Amino acid sequence: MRAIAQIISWLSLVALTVPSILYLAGSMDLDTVKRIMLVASLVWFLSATPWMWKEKGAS
Amino acid sequence: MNTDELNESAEPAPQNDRSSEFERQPVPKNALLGFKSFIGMYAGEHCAGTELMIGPLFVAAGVSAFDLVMGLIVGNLLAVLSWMFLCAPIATRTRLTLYYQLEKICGRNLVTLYNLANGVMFCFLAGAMITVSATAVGVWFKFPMPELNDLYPNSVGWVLAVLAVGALISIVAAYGYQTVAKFANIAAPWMVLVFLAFGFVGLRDFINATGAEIHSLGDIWHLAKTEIWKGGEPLEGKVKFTFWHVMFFAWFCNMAMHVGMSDLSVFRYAKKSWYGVASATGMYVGHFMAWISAAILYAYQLHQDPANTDVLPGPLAFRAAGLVGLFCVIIAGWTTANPTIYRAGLAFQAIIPKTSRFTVTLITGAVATLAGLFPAIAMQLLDFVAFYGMILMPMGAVIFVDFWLIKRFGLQSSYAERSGKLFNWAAGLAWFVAFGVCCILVKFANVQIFFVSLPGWFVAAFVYIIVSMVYQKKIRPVAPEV
Repeated sequence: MRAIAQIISWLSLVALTVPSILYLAGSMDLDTVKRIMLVASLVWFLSATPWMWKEKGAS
Repeated sequence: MNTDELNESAEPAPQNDRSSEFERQPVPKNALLGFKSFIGMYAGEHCAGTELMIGPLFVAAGVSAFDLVMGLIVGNLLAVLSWMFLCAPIATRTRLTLYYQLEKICGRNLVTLYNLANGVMFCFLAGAMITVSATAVGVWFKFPMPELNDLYPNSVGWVLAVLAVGALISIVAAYGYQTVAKFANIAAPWMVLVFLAFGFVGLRDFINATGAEIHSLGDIWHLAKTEIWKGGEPLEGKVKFTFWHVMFFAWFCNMAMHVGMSDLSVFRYAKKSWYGVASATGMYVGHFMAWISAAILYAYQLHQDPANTDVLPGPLAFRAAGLVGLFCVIIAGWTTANPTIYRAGLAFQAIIPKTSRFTVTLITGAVATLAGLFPAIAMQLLDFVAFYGMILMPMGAVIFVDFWLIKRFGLQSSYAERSGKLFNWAAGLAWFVAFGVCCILVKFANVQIFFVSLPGWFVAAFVYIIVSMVYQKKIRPVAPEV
């Protein structure tokens, strides 16, 4: 379960970044970029919270 | 700018927080952390809400593309080297918090004074972060927001927004510091990528607006030089920034942390002193990529309407990334204001230990909120950050000299601990004289504040040695070293 959540969350970060790169390349309009970024952000917080909450690090 | 949870300059810290461990003893081997921990921490913490102010303020200062990029590359490198060669080597040898290290050298009363200065600066810094978050609220409620040279709040809506944001942040910091700290960890990678997206979107907007043909990196550099960071005169009320301004600002904006040794509390957990290089992630993600991205957004705003000089992260981010941009501004301000308010509270609580942390954090948050009402701090953030480093830097010089040099002069290190003194006047005078010299250089010699901290460090080191020679002899024959 944790592994699946991790994969989904990392994919959501890819989905967060790629649209702006496509916009830079002139292949996507800005409204679509904003929509995809919003969905990707929601997916990130929903999928990353369960496994990152328990992680211990320097901070 | 950064705020890190390990970086406590005051005690005590909360239960179950790693910073609460080993406050008055060296960190043991089994508690040391690997390199990866420091990479993540620095990358996240230097991507804060205030980055959205600093990038645009560079543009307002009329910086050119070469001066900005080269200044940031060199200045950030110097910052990383300062962590690596000034701060981390002492941290990994003593493995003590800054607070305890200072107490051994300076004595309890001088450390209390240091905490007061630290706490006040944290309050103002948190105020700037609240200001940044409140600009996102303004996008929703459309009240008049502060302009570039405003010193005072300019609308009832602005006051209400800052009070609401500040109250929320303060209450959450008082109740749930740990929760927000965890949330900040989760938000960090997301925020970094949103900042990156700001840059991509801003760059494309410039390409569209100018009709530039981009076929290579050279074309992007040409666009940067001729359209984004054109150089020339700064905006009204701003100082012209050159390569040297950018370099010294990038080097010294976290001066309190590296040269000032505040991050002793962080690197005491590092297995090796070279882990200081992990700070490069924070510098080149937060203080390079994020500043440049934010600067592009502001430059585009000026390109579209040269009369619109407002530096408002909320509207800038909303234009580039819609709701995600707004959330990023709010979360970036919130997650960094949270530990800043908390740490300011710790600093004050160390001065009045009997007060509860909850009460102190709430009062500290109220002071930060009041500071956040005044846009002067956020709009003059470059100067404020330089001032912040200048105030706390001398104590870093004292620690450096005390650890590496003082015995070569036949003097004792950790003199307050050995002599039982509560106020080591050698360290105190080093601080006051260095601060005074810096102020005189700024006020009467017309040296800009970005440049005075470097000579100030040497003044502090020199005064500490000279006064120690007199002071240590005069006070007592010191106890033999164990």
